[in-house]
Amino acid sequence: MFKTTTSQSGRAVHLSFEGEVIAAFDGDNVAAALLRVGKLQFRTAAKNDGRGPYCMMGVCFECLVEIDGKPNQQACQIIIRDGMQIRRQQAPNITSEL
Amino acid sequence: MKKKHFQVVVIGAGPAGMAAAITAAKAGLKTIVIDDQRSIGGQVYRSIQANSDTPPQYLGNSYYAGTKLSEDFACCGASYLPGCTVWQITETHEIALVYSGKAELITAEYIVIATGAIERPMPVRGWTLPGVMSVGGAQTLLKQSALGADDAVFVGSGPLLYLTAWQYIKAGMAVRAVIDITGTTQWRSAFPFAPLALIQPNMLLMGQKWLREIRQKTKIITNVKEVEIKGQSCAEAVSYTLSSGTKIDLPASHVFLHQGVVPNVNLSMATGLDHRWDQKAFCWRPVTDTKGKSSDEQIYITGDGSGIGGAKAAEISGRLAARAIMKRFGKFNFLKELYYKLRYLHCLSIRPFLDRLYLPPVHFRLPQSNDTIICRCEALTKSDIFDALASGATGPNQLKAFCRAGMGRCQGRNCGLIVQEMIAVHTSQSMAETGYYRLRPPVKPITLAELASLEGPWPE
Repeated sequence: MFKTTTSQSGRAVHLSFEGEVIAAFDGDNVAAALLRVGKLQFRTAAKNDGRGPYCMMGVCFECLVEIDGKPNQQACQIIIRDGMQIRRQQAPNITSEL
Repeated sequence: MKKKHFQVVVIGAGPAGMAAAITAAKAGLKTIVIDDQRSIGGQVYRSIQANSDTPPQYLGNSYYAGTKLSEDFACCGASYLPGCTVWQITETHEIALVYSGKAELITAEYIVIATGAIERPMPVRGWTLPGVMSVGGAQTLLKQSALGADDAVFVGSGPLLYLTAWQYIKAGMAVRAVIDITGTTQWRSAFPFAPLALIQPNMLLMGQKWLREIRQKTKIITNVKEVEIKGQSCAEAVSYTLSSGTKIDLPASHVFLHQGVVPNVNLSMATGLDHRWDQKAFCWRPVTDTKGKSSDEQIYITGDGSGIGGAKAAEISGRLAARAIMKRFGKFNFLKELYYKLRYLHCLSIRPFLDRLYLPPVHFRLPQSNDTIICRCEALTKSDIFDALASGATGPNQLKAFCRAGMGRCQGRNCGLIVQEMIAVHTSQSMAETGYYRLRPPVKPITLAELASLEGPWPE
């Protein structure tokens, strides 16, 4: 599990992830805030396999989440705001749509 | 609406972009730097400003070497637009941006592309499991968010792997193991270039220091021929096979992979600039002259985006590109240009050695198991790709039509080089003959709402 390496200071803000309230540091990006509390799986991919942050620099698109109802948000690129509602992004069930 | 116009638009705020902007702005050219990250530094100097107040010592001297550059940039007079995505460069040198959810076009007399490097993909079985990250990703968490994980396993080869493992140890993390996949015969091809590398003894000594201090705290496992990551919903163990055939499982919930970096060519390729396959460094790179001028007279490509040289070389190549642009505005200083050219050559002297020593072995560049995922976005496995090849797909672009490989959101950044090499092997062609995905704008996904927010006037 990830842990903070220095005495991290900063205002504490609260987010919700899949309905669970999470305390985070102001200034964190969404991915870091979730990893800090042990959340590793951020979305499911086309074959229903779980995925989580991989590159942390915005090129891999593995950390996509739904933020305040908006899908396809890159968790590693977005700075948290107090009260943010975050959900895992679920891959569309392609076979049933066909 | 009248488009904003700049004499120089720099894309990317890493060492190359910052250095180019400092030089151009100081010469009096109207310059703007656009960057998709929230703060300056690029990847190598990520969060350098935030970290310079209370320096965590564990990031080391190579990181803090960026402090002066970032300070100079902050007061150089160039405009700076962070958190802004460039999604197209048009034939008339308009640059299409998305900023705060709104699209805009700006125009430039000269464009400096300084979009840096991305990590070479490492398609081992289980590399998509949550808990597995790239080493670059782990390092970014350390720099930007002061986050590290105990008992992680580092797997791969190359300077960034050792640097990050070293930083982890200095930060007080327990590192379970470093699994070094560097081929045991790589020394043979690298050795002739060792004398050239000796021109930069400080770099070699730094690498030796990292390795020595890693060994004091954890084990470095070598002679490894295969690696896979096991786990149900998350990473649970790294399983590695030694060249003797012995197979060992190491429990690990955090696994960090790395096998070198390659130029991030998505923007330069989508702009239609000429590129060539570099067989020695085993990557695509844009065709440029010694000062970074691309096949388009008004576009320069600098830093790792034009060929991997590291942070110092990137900084100098940024200055060289800016000086070449200044020359075209009638400002030329022969001695300074010569000075930077010599320093550039000096910085690059270690690369032929490093490129050969750390070229990942073919069995780590190519997937070994049929169910290893290749295209992460579309969740396509090695056998999915082979099915498409068996159905007659002859190249990377036809393969897209057959199975959607490379058509997801990352636009091939994860799978492009793997797919290219799989096709090259399958068709017995060279990597250069096989070619790469045809990349098109938008270079990063943008929403229709963002696109629709563009203001006219529209062309006829």
